[in-house]
Amino acid sequence: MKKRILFIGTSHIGTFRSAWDPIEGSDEFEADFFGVPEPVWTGLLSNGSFQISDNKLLLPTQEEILSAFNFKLDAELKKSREYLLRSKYVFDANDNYSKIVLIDFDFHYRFPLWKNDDGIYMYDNAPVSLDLLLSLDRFAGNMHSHSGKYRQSGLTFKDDKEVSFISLIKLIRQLVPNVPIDLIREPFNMSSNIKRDKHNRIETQIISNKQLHDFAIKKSRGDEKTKMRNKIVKAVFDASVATSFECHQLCTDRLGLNIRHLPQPQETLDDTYAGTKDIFSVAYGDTGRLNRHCTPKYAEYYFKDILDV
Amino acid sequence: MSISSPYENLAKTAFWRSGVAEASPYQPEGIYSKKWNIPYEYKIATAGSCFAQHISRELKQNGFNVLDMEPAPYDLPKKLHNKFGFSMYSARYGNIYTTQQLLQLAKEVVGKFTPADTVWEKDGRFYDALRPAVEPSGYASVAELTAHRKHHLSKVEELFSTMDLFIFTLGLTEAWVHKESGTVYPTAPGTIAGAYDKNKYIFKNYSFIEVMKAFTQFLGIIRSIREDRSTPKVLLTVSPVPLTATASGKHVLQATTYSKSVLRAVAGEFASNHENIDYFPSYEIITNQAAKGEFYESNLRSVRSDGVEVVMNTFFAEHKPSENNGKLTNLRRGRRQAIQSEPDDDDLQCEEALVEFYNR
Repeated sequence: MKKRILFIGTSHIGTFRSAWDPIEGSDEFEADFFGVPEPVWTGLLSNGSFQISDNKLLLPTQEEILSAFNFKLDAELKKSREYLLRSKYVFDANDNYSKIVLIDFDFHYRFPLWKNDDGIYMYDNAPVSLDLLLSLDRFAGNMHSHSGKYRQSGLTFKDDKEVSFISLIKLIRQLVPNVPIDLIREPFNMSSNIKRDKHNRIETQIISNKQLHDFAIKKSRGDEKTKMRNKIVKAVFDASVATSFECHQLCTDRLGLNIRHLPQPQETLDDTYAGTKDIFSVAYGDTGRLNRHCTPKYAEYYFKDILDV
Repeated sequence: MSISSPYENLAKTAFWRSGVAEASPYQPEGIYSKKWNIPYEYKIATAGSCFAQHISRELKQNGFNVLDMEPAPYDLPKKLHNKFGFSMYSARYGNIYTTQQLLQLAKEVVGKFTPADTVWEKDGRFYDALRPAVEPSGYASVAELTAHRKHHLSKVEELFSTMDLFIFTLGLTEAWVHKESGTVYPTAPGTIAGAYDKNKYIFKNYSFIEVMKAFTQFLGIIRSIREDRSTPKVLLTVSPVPLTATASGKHVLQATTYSKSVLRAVAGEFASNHENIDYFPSYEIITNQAAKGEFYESNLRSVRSDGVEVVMNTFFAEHKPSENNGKLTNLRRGRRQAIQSEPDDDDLQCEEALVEFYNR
């Protein structure tokens, strides 16, 4: 009997689907994919309610989906809406999946978050617990920072509703309590592939880096030329990676998920730090080097772990 | 001209029949006359038992300058603010039910008291025993808890030294105390975290004298940390919310009456003897016999939204939002909308109500 694997994620799931192609037709495995772009997830989480019924994880109702797309639509959103209206549900528990893999359900480092000398997470100048971080809108939602364009094109978000995928994971866990769930994790700011340029993702990163830069300068009391600034930048950067990791750890501990790391970035990070005068120009210059791992090649490599069901 | 009785020519509000029995509880005329104005620029600090959350929220919604020294992260959803102790009061101290708890906080701020047994453990997580509800899942380590508390105390000090008006709602006289150190807790050990140990903790039901003394000491500390050594203006109220349970051995009705009587008497005593201290009768408005209990929910404890509205209308009739910012119409409309959309007491954080769990 074939082992079935369900992949749930954003449009990034296309990378995994491509990587799956050579395995398609295998006697051992088969896979299903459910993916919509990140802003659409946000729209669904903030406008609608995922529910369980008849052993299925249902999408928000048609009315809720439509209300999330109530103005003029760009082609991508229109396609997503049609896909959602056609799909009705995310998955059926009767399909007996051997594993569910969540892709892009990531925690993103938020400014002005940092870690002080005692290892305490600070949000601006106030200490903050990981539980609180997990409750922050968008911290576990991952999508808002990319949503500006979509707001303009008609995707609406209810600001008073929590936009977090944790509630969705809880529903999945409730529906299939014994199916292992993998959470593929991408370290901070390394999630975008080059294709995302056209969706302003790179631009978002640059804004993010500017915030990091400004924050470092503020913390180093405006002395831009001392080593202090780079030291702080590195500390903040490290904290961001650590925070993302620890939040995943906390989340997975609470929800019983397995974290799987995308291969690579450590050597790139080390390379980034080595001898650089300006972290930003190297790490986030126009080389796109930190984005290169999100290719079918890496996804294929990654299946080695995933298929170990 | 002589009068036949000192009761002759008194205002209608001086008589029970015209002041209460035949008057509308929804418009309790003449029940409150302010002692002084609250100018727009006044920095207001709020604290107290959970009914005080209504007052704090309403003041903010009506444009008063209510301080928030520990604001929520900007992207924490509003519905989660209270869960983490944000936006309830002017700092993240949670509910302060007793005057002794308030005094203890002030003493801790100025380093005159170090509370003992302040870390309560539950399921491997650590809770700040002096504000156990502000982190609903506790902290990962004692070090994290300590860092958070240190930050909190620094913010409370800033609050106490800068506030122009302190609005405090007196809630309870009953508390649980650490025997050895005298540390006062907002909740009974074991309710949220920790464990009850009769050799370690004692029950205390404070007397009129003790409450008076505690608040007097509190004001002294506040003066000492202010640059100009001034006493801020103080507005006292008494929570109309009855006790969920009493550990006094008395009937809960009797215990409630004792508690509220003491607190009401203390508030009256301070208001009578200090020009800078006023009393606002939220207790009387809600417990008004003319309302026949209608301002309470079916549990006869929680205050209904229309009760809160009467309280705040009475307050705003004297301290007009329009005097503060000239935006009365919009603010009032905004406030009403907010009240309509809020789930009343369900939205409040009231740890003391958790002891109902033990009522089996």
